[in-house]
Amino acid sequence: MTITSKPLVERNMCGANFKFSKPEIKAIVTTVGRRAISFMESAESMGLSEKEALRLAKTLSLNTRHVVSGNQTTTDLCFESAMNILATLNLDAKSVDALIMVTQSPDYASPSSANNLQHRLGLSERCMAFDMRLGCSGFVYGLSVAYSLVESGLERVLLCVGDVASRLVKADDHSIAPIMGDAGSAILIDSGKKDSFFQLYSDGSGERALYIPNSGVRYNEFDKDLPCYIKMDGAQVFNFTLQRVPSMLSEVLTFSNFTKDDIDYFILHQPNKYILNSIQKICEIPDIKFPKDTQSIYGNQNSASIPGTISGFLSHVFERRQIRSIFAGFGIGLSWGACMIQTDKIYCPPTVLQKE
Amino acid sequence: MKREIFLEKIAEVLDHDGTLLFSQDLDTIKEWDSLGILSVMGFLHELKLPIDTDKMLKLKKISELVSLASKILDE
Repeated sequence: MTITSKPLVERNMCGANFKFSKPEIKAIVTTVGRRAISFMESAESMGLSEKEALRLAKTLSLNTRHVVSGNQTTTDLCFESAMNILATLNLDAKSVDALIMVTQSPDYASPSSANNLQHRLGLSERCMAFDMRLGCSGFVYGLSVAYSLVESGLERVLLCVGDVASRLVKADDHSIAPIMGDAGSAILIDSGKKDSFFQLYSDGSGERALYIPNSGVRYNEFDKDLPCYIKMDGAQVFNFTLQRVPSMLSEVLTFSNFTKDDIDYFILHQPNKYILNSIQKICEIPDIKFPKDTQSIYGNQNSASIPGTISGFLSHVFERRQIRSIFAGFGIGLSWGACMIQTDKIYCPPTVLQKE
Repeated sequence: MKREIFLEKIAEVLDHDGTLLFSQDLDTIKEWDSLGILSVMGFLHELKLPIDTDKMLKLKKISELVSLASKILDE
C-alpha cells in the first residue's frame, strides 16, 4: 500500500485521521517499579474488610502492582528504558533527532521533563525535546506525533511514556490506589517503510470525570479543600469507555481497510480486566488476540500500558515475527485514540525491573 | 428477553444470591454499590442499550432498572 496524494490529515465525522508510510517502531523497552505490592495484603491499610477486598479482587482481577521506591520518578524509569535501547542496539545517542516525553507526573511543572532526559541520555543539543501532558491515551497520541516528525523528514525519534501514578493517588483511597502502578517505556521510531493509520479524539466536557484538583493554576470553589490527588467518577469513565472504545476500534479498522481477522493483536490501554472484558465482549474479539492481564500484575501503567503490555506479555512474539496491531488508548481528558501499525522483529525484551 | 430472565441476569452480574423482585428497592440489595452499578452498566452495554450515567446512579427500584431495558424486554 502506498500513501495517496490526499492531505496527510483528514477531518471528518470520524475525528482526526492520519496516514503514514515511513515511520517504523524498532524497539520497545518498559521499566517498572521494583516494589511489588499485593492487593490482598494492602487491603486492610486502605480500610477494606476481607470480604470487600475479595469481591474487588474477583471482579476487577486485582492481584499485584509494581511501584517505585523512595524518590524515583517517571524520568528515572524512562531513562533506564531508553538507555537499554541505546546500549543494546549500540546506537549513537547523537543520532536521535527528537525526544518526546508523555507524562502526567513530570519532575517539575516546568520545564519539560524531556529536556532533563535529553541531557541525561547524552542526546545532541540539536535534538528537539518536549513534553506532552496526557494520561491513558498518551501513548497513541505521542506515537502519532513521533510518526508525524519522521514522516516529515526526521530519521530517528525517541518516545518516552509513563507515570509514577502511585504518587498521584492518596495511598489509602481504595477507590483508585489499588489499581495504580509505576512504569516508564521508551519506544524507538526510525524512518523506514511501513503504512500506519491513526485516529484521535477529545471531549473536554468530561474534564472532571477524571482529574487532579488544585494541580494547576486554576482555582475552583468546588475544588476547595480537595487534596491534589486523582479524583475519579468511576461510573462516568466506565460509561465513556464502553460508548467510545468499541466504535473507535471498528472505525480504525475501516479506515485502515483491514478486518478483525487481519489483525494479530488488539492492544488496549489496561485500566483493569473488568473493563477490558466488557470491551472484548462487545467487539467479539478472541482471547488470543486481546491481552488484558497487565493491570492485574503491574497495575494501571497509564500512558505506558500499551508498550507495557507488549513488554510484559508479548515480547517473544514481537521479537520473532512481523505483527499487525491495533493500539487503543482512552481515559483522562476525556481523550482517546487508536492506530493500526505494523512491526517486524523489533528489539523488545521482557519487562525490566527498575535498578536498585 | 423475558423480564424474569433479565432479572436473573442482573442477579448474576451483581453476584447476588437469591431472586430479585420487580417491586424491590435497590438499597435492599447489598451488592448494589459502585462496583455493582458498574457491573450492571457493563451488562446493559452488552445488550446495546443507551445508558445515562446520572440516571443509573439515581435509580431507587428494580422496576426503574427494568424500564431502562424496556426496549429489549417482551411485552
